[in-house]
Amino acid sequence: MGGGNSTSAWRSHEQRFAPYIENRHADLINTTAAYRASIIAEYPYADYVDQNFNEVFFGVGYAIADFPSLYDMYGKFMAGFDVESLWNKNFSTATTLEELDEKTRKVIVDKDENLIHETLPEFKLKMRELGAVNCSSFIIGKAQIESNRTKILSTISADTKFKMLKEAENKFVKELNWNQDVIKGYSEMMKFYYMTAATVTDANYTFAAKNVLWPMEVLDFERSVFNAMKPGLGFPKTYLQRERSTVSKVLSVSSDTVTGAFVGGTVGNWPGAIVGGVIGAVVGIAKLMFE
Amino acid sequence: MGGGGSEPYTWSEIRYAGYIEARHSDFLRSVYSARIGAISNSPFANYTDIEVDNAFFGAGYTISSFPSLYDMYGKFMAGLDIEALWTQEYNDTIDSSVVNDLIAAEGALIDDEIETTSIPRLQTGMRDLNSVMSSSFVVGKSLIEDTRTKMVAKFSADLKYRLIPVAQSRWQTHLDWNKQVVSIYAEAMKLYFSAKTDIDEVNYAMAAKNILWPFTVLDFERAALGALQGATNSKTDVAGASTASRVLSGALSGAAMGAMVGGAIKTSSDVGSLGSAVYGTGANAANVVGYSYAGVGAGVGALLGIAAAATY
Repeated sequence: MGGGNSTSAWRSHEQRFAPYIENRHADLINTTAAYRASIIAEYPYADYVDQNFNEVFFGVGYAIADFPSLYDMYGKFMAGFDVESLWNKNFSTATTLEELDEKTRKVIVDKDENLIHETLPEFKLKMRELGAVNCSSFIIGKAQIESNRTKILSTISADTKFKMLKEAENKFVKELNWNQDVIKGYSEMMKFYYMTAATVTDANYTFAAKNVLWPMEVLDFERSVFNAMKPGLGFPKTYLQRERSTVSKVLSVSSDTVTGAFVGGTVGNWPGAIVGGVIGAVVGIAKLMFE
Repeated sequence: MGGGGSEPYTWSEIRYAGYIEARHSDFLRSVYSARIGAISNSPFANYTDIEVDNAFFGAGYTISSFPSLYDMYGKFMAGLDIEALWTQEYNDTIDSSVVNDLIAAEGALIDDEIETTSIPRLQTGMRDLNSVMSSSFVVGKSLIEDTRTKMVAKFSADLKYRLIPVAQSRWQTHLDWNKQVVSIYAEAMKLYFSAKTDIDEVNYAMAAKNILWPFTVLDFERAALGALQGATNSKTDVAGASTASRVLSGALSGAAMGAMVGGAIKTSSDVGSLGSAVYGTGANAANVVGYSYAGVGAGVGALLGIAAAATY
């Protein structure tokens, strides 16, 4: 007989605090609920407009895929570039400039003036004085004068053209460097694009998420109030974060803008500096958003 | 008969003050209502992946569609016959058609001057002397022609002599160019993998955030349910990888900070003398200016950055 009987027990624990605490807590909860009701529909992120970086980089309606690929550009300007043709083109351009022959002719015309008005008359005069006008030496002498003229012409022309050899070589090397810079610049732009795309996309979607989650975020403050009497809990950390001062924000964005402008300027002179500056500013702002 | 009895099964109910339970109940209804509105409204649902491959290789191509780095290295460097290149450069520089054309043009210029100026002037004088039929006139004309031939030959010889160091310089330029072709190919590849890695991270993070969106929303409700027990949810970000800060300090950022390998090719005048041109990294005068600007820019940017940090 006997023996223990298995029985169920219902125990209820009610956690209570001193009346003065509960009174204040009740007031806090009600106040928080009232504030929550008033701000839950005030979406602060609702008017955020997505930053359209594609438009800034490529123009309205274009994407990066609408432009030549980096490898295409590399093939055109580097690996597939005909270096020998470039030399021939530069050599011809530099040494057969119309201006070179014109300059030579202009110099020889000046020489001719001297020849006609001074050298030949003086030669004829002296030959006449010697009574040698009708002799073969006079003819040879005149031919020698013309021959010298030809030498002078040839020397002037050659000197002018030889000076252009250095120019041809310089132009050749500069063009090769230019081709190289074109590819470097294209790569840099692509690099900037992807950095910007990553940061700005993240910013755009973060704001979109914050907008959708706004009611949840507001309610989360209310949630933390319920358990106010438990130690260690409080409002969400977002309100405890350290924030930059306005001066610091301005300086930080300026730093990125200046760096972007100078890097861009190195790649693409003043247009590059403008693009670099804009991109630097965008990156700077994006960085601030994620702090 | 006897036998030991088992422990009684107990239920424990934790209750809170009535005013708390009333407000909590109302609060949970509000959270539920907000959850219904948000859970099917993922902002990441319309995300379109950022494209990388098309930008680097063109539509329909991948990195495998192009020569491998080792192929390029073999073609432009290791497998290059530099002796054959020197011979080719020498011939193309000294005996190219453009050089011969220039010599011919020089001859034509002299011919033109002789025919339009020298010979008529000589002839006119001789006609006046009635000496056109004399042998002296013929000798005189041949003197001029002889000079013409000598000058063209001299021009040709001088030109070719002056082009010898140019051929040497071009050979070195060509070698340097080949080196740059391979260096930049490697850099383009490095950039591709940097961009691909970072952008993949962004794309996949967005996809993860989209799939995890219901849990992001429900996490708020979970915290709301446990509010009285101390459950916390102080984070306000979205479930899934956070990308932006990582990208900013990631491979692309690192790549952006470093300039591409390989400096500008130098002209022979940049390096002092034609025969002793030494090629390598570094910058020619123009690029030195450019790099100085970049250095100044980086310096100004760094100073501003330090100031920003100091006033943080």
